[in-house]
Amino acid sequence: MKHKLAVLTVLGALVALAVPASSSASMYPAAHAFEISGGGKVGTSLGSCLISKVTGSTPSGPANESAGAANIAVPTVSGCTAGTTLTLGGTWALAYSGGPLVNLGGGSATLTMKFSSLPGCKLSTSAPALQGLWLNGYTAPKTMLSSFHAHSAGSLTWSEEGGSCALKGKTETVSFTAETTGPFVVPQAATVNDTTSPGSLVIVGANK
Amino acid sequence: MGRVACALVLLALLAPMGCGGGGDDTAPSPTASESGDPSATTTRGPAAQPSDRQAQAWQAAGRRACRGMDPVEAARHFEAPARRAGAHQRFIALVTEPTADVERSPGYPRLVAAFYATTRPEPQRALAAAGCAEELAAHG
Repeated sequence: MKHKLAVLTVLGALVALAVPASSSASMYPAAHAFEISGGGKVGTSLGSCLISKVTGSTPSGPANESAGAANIAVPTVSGCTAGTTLTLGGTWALAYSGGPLVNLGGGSATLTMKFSSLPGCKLSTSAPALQGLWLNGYTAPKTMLSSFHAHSAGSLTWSEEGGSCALKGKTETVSFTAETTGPFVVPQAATVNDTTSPGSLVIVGANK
Repeated sequence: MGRVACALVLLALLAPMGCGGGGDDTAPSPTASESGDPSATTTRGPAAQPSDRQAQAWQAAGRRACRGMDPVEAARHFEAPARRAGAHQRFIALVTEPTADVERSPGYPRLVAAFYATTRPEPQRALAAAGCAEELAAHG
């Protein structure tokens, strides 16, 4: 009997380890506006553009306790290399995607790039996923604010834009990288500012 | 006094370091999203337009660079320079190892021309690509 009990205990522990306690995510504080000052550079072989600002707000309580996404405004694009255009549209979201990762974009967002050196073609997606590392930060022993570090972008598809495009239907992965600054050209994480309560952390993560 | 002078020299040396070292020229420009427009779009902003003479020279340089080659030859010819210029691996493969439908497309010479243009400085790219595309289309 003791032997059976021990086996059951071990099996139960294994099952508990294998099944996550909760697959939902949470965002804190509830209903706080935030701003990411410097999102990252969307880069292709033909040109790149900088997403310089992302603003949004965490969900209201108590939904924030099980919310994996926050609505954000269409991100601000502040500059492109010569002859490159980046157009963002639709409805954008910031969604938790596991571990320290979040995605900017979503199924209702659009992203289109055009290049004057390749007329007749555009590179676009109807569901962009600009992925970044979200670092929650900490307040002790000192405050280090939450931050966002651009990491990767999903695939975009070539299509015709007023002319014949040889790459029509082909996909291509574009890069999404943090800006580099300073003498050592180190990629910088962008600070996430809580604009409702400046100095507060904006926490995104999995529920346990 | 010596300390003050030293501090001033150090300040002068360090000042440019805070201006971004990525080498990517991204001049800020107003965006649609800032003005409440539902979509955000941007181009480079008020970049200086090349003079007519410059424009002709850049286009002619594109023609010269691609003269005498068919599009596939040109794609392979510019592979190494494009790689050095930072072209992505997938894009290089799409251009230099074209599938049959890509190679047959009337847009293939323009694609190869854009590929060549990645090896040119940014302000020259559109015109250099146009010149190269003319030459490749004529040869192909």
